[in-house]
Amino acid sequence: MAFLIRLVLATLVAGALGVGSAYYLVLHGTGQQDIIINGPWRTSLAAGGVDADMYTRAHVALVGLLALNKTETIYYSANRDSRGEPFDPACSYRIEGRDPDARWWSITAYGRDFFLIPNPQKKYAVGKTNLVRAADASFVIRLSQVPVEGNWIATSPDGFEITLRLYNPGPLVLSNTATVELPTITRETCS
Amino acid sequence: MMRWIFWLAFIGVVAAGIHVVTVAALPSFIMSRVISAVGGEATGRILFTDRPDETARRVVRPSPDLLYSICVFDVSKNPLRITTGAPADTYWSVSFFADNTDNFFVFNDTRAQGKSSTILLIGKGQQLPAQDGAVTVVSAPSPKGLVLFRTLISDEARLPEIDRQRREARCEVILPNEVQ
Repeated sequence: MAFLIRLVLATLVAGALGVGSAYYLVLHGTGQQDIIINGPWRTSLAAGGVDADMYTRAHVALVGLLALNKTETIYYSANRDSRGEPFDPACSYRIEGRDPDARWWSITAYGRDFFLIPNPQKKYAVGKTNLVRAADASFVIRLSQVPVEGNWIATSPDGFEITLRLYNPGPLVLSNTATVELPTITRETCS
Repeated sequence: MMRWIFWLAFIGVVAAGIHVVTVAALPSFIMSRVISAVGGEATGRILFTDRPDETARRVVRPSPDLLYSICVFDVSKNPLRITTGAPADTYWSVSFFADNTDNFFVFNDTRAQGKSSTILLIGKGQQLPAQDGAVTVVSAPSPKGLVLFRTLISDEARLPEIDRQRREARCEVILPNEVQ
């Protein structure tokens, strides 16, 4: 009887460890073998592709279901600024750069549940076709809870991350995914 | 002492097994839930969803710049004919996903050269149906899956026009009497 009780308890502990470790590694993308880091941005060229390893496939299913393969779209995501500090919902951020090498691109903010962040202005994203640029073609996009003039994306008090989508990425991106110039992310003021 | 080592080893081995099974099964599990969620409305026909906002909660990370249309496929018995629309002067694509989430085929506006196109999705061992005109034939790696249409809202002023044009797309089950 004592053996059976130990067996059940040990199995329950093993189950919790197995499922918990799987969920943690998949959610944070820790188990993926092909993560590419470019400044504050992270991506995987295997995402959505048939050659993805099981951790990449599970990660995509959990946080980016129905992702396209790399020739159609590359998805970079960021939950830190360019100094490596995690996004603080109480702070505003400045995204600066120039148009990436892609037929179309956009930056979208998501809440911790990976869905669009409710806001009265419905400012979920800024993209190539609705971006306001400076005379030298550079741009600044602001991320904050409070609306600001110009290019602005709403963030959530519960936390957020952003996704940079590059549709039909050019050869510069495809062959230099880790080094190609992407927008920088700088923390501004905090409340 | 030996007893503790035995139980620790037992927990380690079982936990590792459950870990691998969980990671491996997660994509198919999530995909089956999505297929079930939209299946009733979109099996063998297209569900034209509204422009995503914070109420869009079927699939994570929707893009608010895209109009999505979705159809569930089940080619275990009959092939599926997909007819694309041809929204003008904007990006659009139709992508095919297996039941393990793999994106096994994509067709976009550049490849279509501005025209409406026909794609036949067939299951393993199925005969090709008779077709008039040029078609693209795609073999599905799994009996069930999803077909997702994305249409970019390239200009807010053109939203009604783009929305109308994307609704010309079709997903139709090919019945046995249509097969050669």
